[in-house]
Amino acid sequence: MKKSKFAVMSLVCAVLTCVCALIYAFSVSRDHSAVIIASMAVAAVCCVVLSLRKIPVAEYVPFVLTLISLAIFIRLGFDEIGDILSKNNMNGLSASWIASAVLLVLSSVCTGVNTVLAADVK
Amino acid sequence: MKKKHGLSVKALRRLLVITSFLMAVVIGVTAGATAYRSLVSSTIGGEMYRLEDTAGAQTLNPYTTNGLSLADWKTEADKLVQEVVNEGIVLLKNEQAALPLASGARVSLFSRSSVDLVLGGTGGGGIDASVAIDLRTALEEDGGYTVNPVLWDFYKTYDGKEGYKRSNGGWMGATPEQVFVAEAPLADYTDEVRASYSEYADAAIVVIARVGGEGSDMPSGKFGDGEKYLALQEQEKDLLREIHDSGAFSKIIALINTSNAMELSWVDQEEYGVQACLWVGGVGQSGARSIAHVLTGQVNPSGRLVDTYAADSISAPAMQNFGSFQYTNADDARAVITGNFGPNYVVYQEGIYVGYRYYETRYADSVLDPKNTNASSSAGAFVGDTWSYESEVVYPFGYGLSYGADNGLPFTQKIVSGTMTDNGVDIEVSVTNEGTTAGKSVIQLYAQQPYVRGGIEKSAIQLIGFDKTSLLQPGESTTVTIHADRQDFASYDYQGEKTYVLDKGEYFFAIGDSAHSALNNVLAYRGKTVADGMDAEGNLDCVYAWTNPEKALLNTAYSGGEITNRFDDADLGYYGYDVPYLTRSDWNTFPTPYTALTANAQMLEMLDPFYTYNTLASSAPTHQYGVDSQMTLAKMYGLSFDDPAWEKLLDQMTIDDMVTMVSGSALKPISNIAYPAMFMKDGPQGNTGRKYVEDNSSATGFCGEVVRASTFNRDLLRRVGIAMGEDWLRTDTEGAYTPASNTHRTPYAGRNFEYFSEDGFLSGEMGYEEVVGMQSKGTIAYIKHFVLNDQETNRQGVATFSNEQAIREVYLKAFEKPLTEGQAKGAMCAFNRIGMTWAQAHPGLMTGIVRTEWGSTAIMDTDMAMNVTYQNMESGLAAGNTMWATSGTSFYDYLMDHVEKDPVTLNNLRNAVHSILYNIADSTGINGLSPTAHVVHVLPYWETAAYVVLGVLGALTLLLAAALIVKSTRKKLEV
Repeated sequence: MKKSKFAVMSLVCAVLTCVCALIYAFSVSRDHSAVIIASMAVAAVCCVVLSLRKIPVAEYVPFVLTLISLAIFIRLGFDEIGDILSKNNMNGLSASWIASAVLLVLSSVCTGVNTVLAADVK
Repeated sequence: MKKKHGLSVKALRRLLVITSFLMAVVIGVTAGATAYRSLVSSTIGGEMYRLEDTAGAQTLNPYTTNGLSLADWKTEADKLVQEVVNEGIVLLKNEQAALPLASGARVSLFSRSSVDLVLGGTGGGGIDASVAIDLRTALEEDGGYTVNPVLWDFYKTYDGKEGYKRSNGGWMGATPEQVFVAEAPLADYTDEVRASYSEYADAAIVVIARVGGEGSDMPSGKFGDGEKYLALQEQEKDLLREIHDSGAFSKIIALINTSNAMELSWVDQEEYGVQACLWVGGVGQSGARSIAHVLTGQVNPSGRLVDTYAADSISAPAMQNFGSFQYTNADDARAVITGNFGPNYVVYQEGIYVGYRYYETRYADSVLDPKNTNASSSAGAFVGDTWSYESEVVYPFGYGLSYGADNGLPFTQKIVSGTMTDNGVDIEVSVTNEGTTAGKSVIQLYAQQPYVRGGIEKSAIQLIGFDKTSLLQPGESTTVTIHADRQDFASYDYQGEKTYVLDKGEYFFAIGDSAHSALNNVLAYRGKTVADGMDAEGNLDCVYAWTNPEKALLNTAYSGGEITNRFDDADLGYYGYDVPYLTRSDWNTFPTPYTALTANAQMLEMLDPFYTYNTLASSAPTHQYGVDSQMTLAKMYGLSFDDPAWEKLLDQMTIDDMVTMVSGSALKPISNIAYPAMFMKDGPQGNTGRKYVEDNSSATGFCGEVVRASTFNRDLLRRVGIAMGEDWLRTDTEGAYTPASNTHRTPYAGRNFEYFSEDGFLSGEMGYEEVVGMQSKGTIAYIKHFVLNDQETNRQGVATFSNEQAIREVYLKAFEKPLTEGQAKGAMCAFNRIGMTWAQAHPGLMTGIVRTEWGSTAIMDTDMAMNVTYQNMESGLAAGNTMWATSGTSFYDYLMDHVEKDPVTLNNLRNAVHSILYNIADSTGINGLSPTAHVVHVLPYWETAAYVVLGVLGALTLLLAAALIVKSTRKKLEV
């Protein structure tokens, strides 16, 4: 029961991180960080693997990767806002960039929750 | 049962997730904020450095405030804003002396804009609207009028249409569909509103407003709720008819509240019954009070129009080539430089015929030689089938009426004497107030050069001087002498002599109530009359003629260097294309849109951001870096640019110091030379980015530049400059991105409200006064946007093609006097290209004009630095640019990666730093420093706090992780 809950959550994380990587990669923004795209992609793969097989401590890999992405994303967010404040960007934040931000936070939360769920999996 | 100790594994995992998540967020925020350290500190406070000095050290304070308390200064500044608007308001019509309107009158204010006056524009030039006085308060307090409260509340509470965005600040980059006039439809006027008219019927005052801003031009086609934004819209026509047809009002007065020359033929159309009309422009924080002053007659209007008001706002030839044009092979351009920085262009096919130079010259030819010049042909006729001045122009450049005479022209002016010397011409003018009201008179001096059909293009009339009298009582006379330099009435021959020429022949110097009136005086002097097609007789007493016996070259620059062609590559002919420039020899050359231009191989090669660098790069001397000679910036105070001490100071800086300064707009402290950092802020209507240090309130919101220029009052503009300097001093801001001095090439440019006029001479004179005024208070004035940045559309990277005559006579003219005689210490350059080259990497402009001809040592700053490829540092530095305006780190990173391997750029970098420091050493940037003071970097409070939070979260996370490992291991062992 608990294992299947973890597996389902892992799949959810896989989908979220994967979609996040894709939307971010194609978002309208000033810069695209290859580290974010790669981290989210690797996180997605890890989540798929975790949904099939529980590997001790491995649940932390996607969580750490999403956190790294989150930190970089926030750093780059300053550039986006800087562009708006300095009139370089007259259109404001793009919908795809905002969607990336939301998905990234959700991915971080979900992969974090998954590390807690992993505690119950034998 | 064994009792469990501490938190469970699951709880530890939960906590670990939370702290890790928070840590990631804090790392991201800290990294972002520190990358923009100077911007963040400027916004939320926090010192980035501390001065340390020996006890009793003598600090420099060359620039001080005027000594007034802040409260008193605010009052003074506010009065100055009113004084400027008092003199800038232009009386356009006053039928049957409808104005002045007696104090005590009961009036109704009409239109949405009556409750939301345009204060200037949006974007970098906007002001804090919350401190602005509204029209009702102004009319009641300063005019003694009683304002219809029902109508006022109706507009105030009117919800308006969705998308209504006619704001006074903070909104820019609008697309046409987002622009709304948003006048309330008549169907929404309630019975209560209509019933109120009769109670407040002494006058209906209707405000017609338009607002522009940074980032986009005004829509000349369809927009949110109308078409052709500068035309009167249907809903406004309905409103005017409602007012007129109600029959309720004794007088109908229109206020034109815009900086852009809108269509005004309706002012004279009977169906609207407008008896008086005032152009008020963008009024700033308290210019609404000036409207009351003029309406009541406390002030006799003395402003004069600084733009031509055409019957059709798209009739200027420049409108044919204004907006968005893209190469047929735009992808090839994008292959050279990505994004939108390369594929766009605009061709200034109108040549020198901008603003009145077009309308008046065509009129002159319609009188002098209509047949051969096709002056009255259908080409460029927008109102009738054939072109006629009377149909095409509503109010000419320089036009304006005053109280005291039935025709609005109470002052008589005549030329007493004229003297030509090697220095130029001196014209003595007598002025008499023959009206019944005291007032000020504007003396406008124009020139007409000898023109030979097919020769150098020449405007039939051009402003070369002006002055304004003091207040003249009825019957009082005065004499004014106006001087004009020879270069002001010479022409630039870019094809033949490649310098300024004073052609052989007869020159006419004329005064007049407008450019048109002066031209009529010249035509009359040349023997023309109404019978020849003139629309009014001229006055021979207003003309001085001089014959130049032989052609003279005026090729000595202000610096003593040679004036010669610098902009051959700005002309499409340079690339093998034929540009049919508008010529007065045949007005059928009226431009058509220059479309279908293909960027050929030569153009694509020059589009390469490194082109300038590759062309100019040669060997460079080597220098020392980081050699401590105990030099400080303060020790340089008062030294000349060439003083050998500069070398010692520069030697003391490290490469990192220099890159920090140049790539970050000198915003960061540099401890090696005790440089304490600097702030620069917009803009043309006051310091909008910083608050008064003393009470954190907004600095003065001045009126728009168009209103300031309309005063034709140099002394007033000098005082505006001094007042701005005072504000910059009191807001602890060293640099001012003002004045803005681009040209009103068309009425539709979004930032016209920030620029003075369609006339480069007038702009240059006004800009000069403001620069000198500001710099007398130690502020570094960054005159902008240098140059040919006359539209917002595609401004970032648009290739601007023009001929050198137009560039020099129209566009550079506005910057020349401020940067030469005015000794402007700075300039903000432009986003656009000149020809194919980014303006700041254009050697002809930056090296040829600024450094060589004008001899300027000014700091040349970029407009917002945004892209390291397009705003190429190697090319910019090679051409003579000195600073990149950003608080981010991308330009720093770029230059640090490249400069150490490149001795040429390293040398250019050093030269740039020399210019920057030289100008700062004689500015408020030196205030508070002593020669022995040291600048010590300190962490701003917010950064310290961020590191503390990060440390705590890091420690907590590690502890939790450790606890989790221990607990999990124990658990496994227990199992």
